[in-house]
Amino acid sequence: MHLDHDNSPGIGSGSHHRQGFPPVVPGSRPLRIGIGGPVGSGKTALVAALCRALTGRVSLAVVTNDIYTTEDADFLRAAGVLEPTRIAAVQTGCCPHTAVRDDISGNLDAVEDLEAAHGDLELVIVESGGDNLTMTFSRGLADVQLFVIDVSGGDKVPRKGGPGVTRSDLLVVNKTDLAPMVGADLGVMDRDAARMRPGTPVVFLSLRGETGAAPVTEWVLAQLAAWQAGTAVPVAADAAVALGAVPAYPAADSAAGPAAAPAAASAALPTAAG
Amino acid sequence: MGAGLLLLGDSRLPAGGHAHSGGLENAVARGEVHDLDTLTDFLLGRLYGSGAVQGAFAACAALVAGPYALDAHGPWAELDTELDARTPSAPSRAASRAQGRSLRRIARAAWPEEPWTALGVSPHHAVVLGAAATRARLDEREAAVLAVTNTVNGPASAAVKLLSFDPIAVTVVLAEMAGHCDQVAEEAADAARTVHADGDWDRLPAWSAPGLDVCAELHAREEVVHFAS
Ligand SMILES: Nc1nc2c(ncn2[C@@H]2O[C@H](COP(=O)(O)OP(=O)(O)O)[C@@H](O)[C@H]2O)c(=O)[nH]1
Ligand SMILES: [Mg+2]
Repeated sequence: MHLDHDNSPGIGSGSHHRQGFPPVVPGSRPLRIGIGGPVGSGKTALVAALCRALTGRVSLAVVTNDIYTTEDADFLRAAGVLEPTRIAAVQTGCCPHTAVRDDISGNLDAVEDLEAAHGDLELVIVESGGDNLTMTFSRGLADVQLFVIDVSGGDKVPRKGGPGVTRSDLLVVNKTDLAPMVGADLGVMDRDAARMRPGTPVVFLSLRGETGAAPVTEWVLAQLAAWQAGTAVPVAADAAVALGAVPAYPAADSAAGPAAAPAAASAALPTAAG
Repeated sequence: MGAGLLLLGDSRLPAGGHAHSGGLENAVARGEVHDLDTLTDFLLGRLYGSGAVQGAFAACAALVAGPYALDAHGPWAELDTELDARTPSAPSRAASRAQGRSLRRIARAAWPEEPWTALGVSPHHAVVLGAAATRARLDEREAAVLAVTNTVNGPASAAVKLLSFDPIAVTVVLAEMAGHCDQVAEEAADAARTVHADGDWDRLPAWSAPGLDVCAELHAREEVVHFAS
């Protein structure tokens, strides 16, 4: 089917198959993971923990989008968790959200440059500049994305929803060590998160605690194994959480769950088979 | 003139422009731009210094590309060298090439049958813009309009973000400048036609705005920046 019936230059490619924009084949290039979430929720701390856990097992690189400086990139370089040549910083022109969603060119350039410089690369982590709960990565930039919130913003955050909470492939609730201090009820957060994103995983973390980032490391390794095996990576439950399809809020349990053990959520991590 | 012009001229075109201020961030940091009058002066400098050259190169690239199929054997290397020579600041050249790379990515995806590799991996923005314009059914004058307006629109929107200007007030500034943009584009296209007919690429316009080169150089040395240029 041709868009043009005469021989004049066509504005379109003349094909309905969008041949200039083929779908990405899983495994054909390094997996790209996006990490989004509000400022200060622990994204950079998580990236550093992942680098520490994965070094020696996975060849990885990191792109940071700190809101107006190279602070995150400098932190990672100073932390010595990754060779400096595997860390790149992107300027976002006052719009951290635009740089990972509406116009991803700066990030794509950085990712492609890292891929070209490190032929063995298996995984690229892109940390967004901090934004609000509507933050999501374009699928053109991140194959899978996780969203990091923390308990100090209050236990209502998961209930507020927003694409970051509802559409991310993994929701991370960080800083559980602070829950008693800020009066955040982790049971409520766990239940609200499960309601807002049915069927997609949630993990509770304290990067200050003993287990550190272990559950996220496992999740990342599972995503990477699925990617490298060529199996489709799980896509966020878009359909289930489409407008109007949010399940009814369950009747509140009289006593909310214990403040320290939202086990139901963290147990439900997907496996490599996805 | 039609949808193609709006497609390539839309500030939402995902070609990386949102992260570039065209030197404005540095001019703001040094207090040179602080109100609408100083913004207008800055934008006029952009228009007549950078815009007139970018417009001529975009128009020339559109003529080289030709209306039917991108000419892979056209003088792309010559245009590249000539524009390098007219961009004395290395950070400015890098900014132009970064945006050219992003725009070329879009052009390749949208018009995959064309030999975009002939332009190089990171071509100058104005050159890709002119070539892409022909694929969007535009002529050399329209290519010049795109390149010229691009040199003022980007910094104007950066000013809204950096100085909290009323976006309507900044739009008024741009509206007042639209006639100047058209005129600069017209002259750029005329110059490009002459040069293209003779093949004297080194006679493309070479206006300059040294103040902008200084902004670009100082910006690149700055530790805390929001914009890539
Ligand atoms: N108490 C506590 N602090 C944390 C935890 N994770 C990160 N932080 C701290 O929170 C602050 C912000 O973290 P950072 O990773 O820079 O946040 P980002 O803006 O999301 O990248 C830093 O001071 C971290 O050390 C955690 O699990 N518990
Ligand atoms: Mg950070």
